[in-house]
Amino acid sequence: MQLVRVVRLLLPISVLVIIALGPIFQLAYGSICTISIGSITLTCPLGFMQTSLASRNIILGLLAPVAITLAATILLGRVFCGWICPAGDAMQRFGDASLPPKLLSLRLTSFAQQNSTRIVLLGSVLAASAILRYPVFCVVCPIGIICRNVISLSQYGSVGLDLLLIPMVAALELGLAPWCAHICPLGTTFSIFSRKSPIVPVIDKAKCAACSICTKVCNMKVSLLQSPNLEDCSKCLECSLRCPTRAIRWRKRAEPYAS
Amino acid sequence: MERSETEEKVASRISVSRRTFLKLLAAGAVGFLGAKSLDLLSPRVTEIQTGTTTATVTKTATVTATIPPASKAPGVILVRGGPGVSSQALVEKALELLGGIEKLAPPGAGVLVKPNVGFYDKDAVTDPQITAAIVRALRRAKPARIVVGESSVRGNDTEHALRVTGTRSLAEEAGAEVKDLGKDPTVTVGVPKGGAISSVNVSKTVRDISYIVNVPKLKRHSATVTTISLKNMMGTLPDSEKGRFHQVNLSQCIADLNSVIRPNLVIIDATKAMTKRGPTGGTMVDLNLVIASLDPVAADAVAAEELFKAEGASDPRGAVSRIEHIQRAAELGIGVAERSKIEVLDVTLS
Amino acid sequence: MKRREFLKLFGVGAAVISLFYVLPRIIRGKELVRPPGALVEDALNAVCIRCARCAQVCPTGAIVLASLSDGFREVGTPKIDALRGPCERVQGRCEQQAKCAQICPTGAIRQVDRPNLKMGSAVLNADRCIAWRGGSCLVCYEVCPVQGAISLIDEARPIFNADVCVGCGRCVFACPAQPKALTLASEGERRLWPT
Repeated sequence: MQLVRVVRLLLPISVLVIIALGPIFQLAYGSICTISIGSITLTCPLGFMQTSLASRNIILGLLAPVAITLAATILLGRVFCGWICPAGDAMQRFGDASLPPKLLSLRLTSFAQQNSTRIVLLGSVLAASAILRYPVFCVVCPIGIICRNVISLSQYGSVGLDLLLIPMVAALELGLAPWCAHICPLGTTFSIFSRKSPIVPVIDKAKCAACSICTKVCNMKVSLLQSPNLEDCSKCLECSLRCPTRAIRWRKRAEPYAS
Repeated sequence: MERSETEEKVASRISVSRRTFLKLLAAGAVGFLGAKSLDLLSPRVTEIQTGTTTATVTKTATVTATIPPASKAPGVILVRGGPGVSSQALVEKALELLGGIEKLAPPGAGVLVKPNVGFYDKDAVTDPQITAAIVRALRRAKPARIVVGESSVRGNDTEHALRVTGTRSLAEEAGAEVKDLGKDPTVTVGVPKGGAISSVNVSKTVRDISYIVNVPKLKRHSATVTTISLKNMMGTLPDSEKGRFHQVNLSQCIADLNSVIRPNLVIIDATKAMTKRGPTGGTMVDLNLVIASLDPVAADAVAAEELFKAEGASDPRGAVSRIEHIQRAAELGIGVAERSKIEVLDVTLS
Repeated sequence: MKRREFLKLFGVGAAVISLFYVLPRIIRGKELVRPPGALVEDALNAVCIRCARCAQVCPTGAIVLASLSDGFREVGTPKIDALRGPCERVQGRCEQQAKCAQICPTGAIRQVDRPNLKMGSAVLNADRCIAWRGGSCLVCYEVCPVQGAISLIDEARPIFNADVCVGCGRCVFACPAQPKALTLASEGERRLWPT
């Protein structure tokens, strides 16, 4: 297996191992919601927004951690989604399987997959947190659920019923739109901050055969061949690995091939 | 939706069929429920074991101080210190008057020093200086190993208690191995003459050790009136067994325990005694006293009398006769509680 | 088209908000015993980011994360389970400062001084208590770190003074009765108002 794919598989698992064992060795504390490795603390920007809105107060203790996380996002784009998130793969698979393809109408699918829908999802999560006074998505967030269960498993050998929320939440999208690219509000948040990400996939026009494999294998549904939504790129390298003519390179922003 | 061939291939690669999804969910649910029923996924809960097991194991290579014949009265040594006399000096004098540590502890034996480190509060535990002095003295007897062990009161972390009272550092400095007996494997020992229990679960180290030096602190106790040598042996039990003693009959169980796990040498730390209330929160009184004996019952009886005297009680001996666990232990033949039959040597160092 | 589009999107938003409005009412919270220095319940549930750091750092393992049965809104927030261990803020490893308050990144749990320390109270079920049933046991009295929280009748049977009790759970953890004669309730707890 390609080294890139090996790392992409092992890195999320390593993060979970660090979360489970970190406190024992006093090296790391917390979960992906807020994690301290050594003296560096990072926090989920969506969690920060929800708790700040829910408590009508900017959570000062999280300001520095969220700044670091967002700075990394501005530079590297949705690299969290591609390399660290332990939930994305599971959510995609559960979501895909939740409705047979025959029931998916083109209209519903394109509504679910348009940009405005995911913005509204993010907005309503934030609005709900502000109105209902609790961080609504944190309760059902598959990343949070996985981390908390890893912690309770390592601490006292038990897991919770909330694990079942993972397939349930995934199934809510009814197979209409893949989780990572179109639903996940944390992913949408990262996309908003990734607009200016400097390193992006660029197609070498001379080598491109216009086969569209890059678009098909992209987990984030970046239509690289035409009007690419580069803010969704998670830098997973899959498009460049799969391109049959090796036409994709990673460099500073430039105009990709337009058909 | 129309899909090209490549799209189909790609789509099938990244999707899971509905059947597989349902299978996964069903498998997950069965696995979850199955594991829960097998208690694999339940949080660890301390179960108190009731009921008895029939395995009877006797101590091997035991050097037990024999119950003295009726003609020779058991001896209890009281060593009092004037101002400025160190605990080391008190301990050394007590051992000297008992015949010298070399004559008491067999060479090449494993020795357990059992102080009272049940709590985090320094007033409630054996003075670590006393423990360290005993360890240093024991080294002259050339033992195979010296273990300072304890299992603290339920709810207290033994490691933290050993550390925060200074017991660990002073005992290790003196050359002992310091152990949390609660982390030991548990073994069952039969109690043939037990009045309340017929077997008891103890720490493996305690069962297998050859020589036990019990180093309790002189204190009052809310449930047993006093906690001295006999009660201190409860620190050799796992937490679940401590609980069982309370459920069954605390005083009888203490006596039963001492009938099979009998300390060979008792040195009571009465440098500061806890009066009026215990095992915590009592009034500390400076007695600068060390009480030593080969008979744990006699040691307890004499020490309790000293405690009541320090409180200004009108009839200290009468009060001692009403301490249930001491009387039960005497009935089991572990030692002598009758004050008139105990020979006491009272010395003062200045 | 524009209006239909807007209505569809509005529907999605309304559905999300309604869902999160209804779920906590279906899956109701119950009164949980919270770590020492916790904010009042609504503020705690608003500000806790459910990161689980407090549960990791607690030296006795007393802090566990609330599960679905504790309420939808409360999922992932910290609560005290005295059966796993006592809180050592009053006596023990957290005497100087509460480790949970130290590590909490959002201020859901804060350092409090001794007068403001009260997580709840111990509640006795005398039918299960060894001492009250005639046996010899005063383990709760022995381990209680707060003078006056437990007093004795006839020097043999414990009674609990909820006004003095700090709710550390030591007695609950140590109680040898089976089933336990003591539980930890949130009665009389002191919580902080967010500033």
